[in-house]
Amino acid sequence: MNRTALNLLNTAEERYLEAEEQQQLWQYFQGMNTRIKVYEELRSQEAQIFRPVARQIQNTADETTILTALRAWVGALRGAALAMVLDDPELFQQRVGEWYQARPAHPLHPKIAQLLKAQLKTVLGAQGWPLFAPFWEQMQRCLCTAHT
Amino acid sequence: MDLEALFSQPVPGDYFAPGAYVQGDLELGTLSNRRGNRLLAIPEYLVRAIYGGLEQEIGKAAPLVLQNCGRHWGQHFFARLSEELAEYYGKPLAELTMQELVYCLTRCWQVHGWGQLQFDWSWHTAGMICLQNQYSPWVKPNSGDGSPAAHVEVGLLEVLFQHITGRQVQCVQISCISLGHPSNQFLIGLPERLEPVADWVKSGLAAAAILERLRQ
Repeated sequence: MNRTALNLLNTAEERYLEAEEQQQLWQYFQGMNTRIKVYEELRSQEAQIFRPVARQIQNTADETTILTALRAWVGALRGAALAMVLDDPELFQQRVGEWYQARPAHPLHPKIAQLLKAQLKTVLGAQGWPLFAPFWEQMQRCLCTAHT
Repeated sequence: MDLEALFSQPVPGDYFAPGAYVQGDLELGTLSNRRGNRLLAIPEYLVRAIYGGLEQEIGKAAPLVLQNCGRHWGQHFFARLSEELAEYYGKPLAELTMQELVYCLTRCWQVHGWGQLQFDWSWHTAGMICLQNQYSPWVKPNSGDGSPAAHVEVGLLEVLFQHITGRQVQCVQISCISLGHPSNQFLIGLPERLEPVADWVKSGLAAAAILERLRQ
């Protein structure tokens, strides 16, 4: 749950929410409906999203190297999808982002990022992609930034 | 390429991720980790009370006893850590990459409230690892009597790194928050390498000066 919604719920322990606060909370939960639909797309289309990516990089390295690189993206995408449902970038950063940021950047990551982004845009479409895009940016930064 | 296996398996991330690692059961009044092992939130005052009690009862032997407590803790800690990480990541601890292991240790310290652990590998040419722990709960800031006092941490780190490296390494503390330093700092290495360091600490040499001598 994102910080704003959590703060509102904490506030509601002490007093009734003001109309404006109630409206914010309402928007958060209403938005969750759509976000869960996008999550469901990502969950059910996982293989369809990754197969074309794997096909396009299959000659760039040996199978183990490719699978290791793809595995990181599969893990990060699952984490980013959950963070999107809760509209909580901090959740992604704490549960998944820092883990991947602490590892050395894989040489295949930039290419996978480029291909995967195109796939995600196609699968999620004009309605779903904008909801996921901020979390995509976050996961891409974590995986593609060079680590020391 | 076997992509099916990739999609059908969980992809483990950060075992010690805050929020996922510590769980509480209000009905039972217990805290546990994500594997169900019990955790305790020990108040800082209890740590101080144990130190005070030991000091009163056994006086000068207290540091030695505390270091031994750290060693015993280290044995159990390593056994539990390796079991938990192996189960979660699906491979033995020895197969984790160095980055993964260091990340796990750092996170483990953070999530248990044991401080902010930092590794400095630049001393490997001297055959040592330098470790810093900021916000250590095991010593009271500015309370010291002239020598480093994180005895529990020394014992713990010594045994932990003996297991990790498979060598009989030792740990010497070279700076301490009890002496007003910003962090507890430790050197870990083989006993013959650390022998002069221990003497330098006893003679009151500051951490910066010790590290400078090691660089030469």
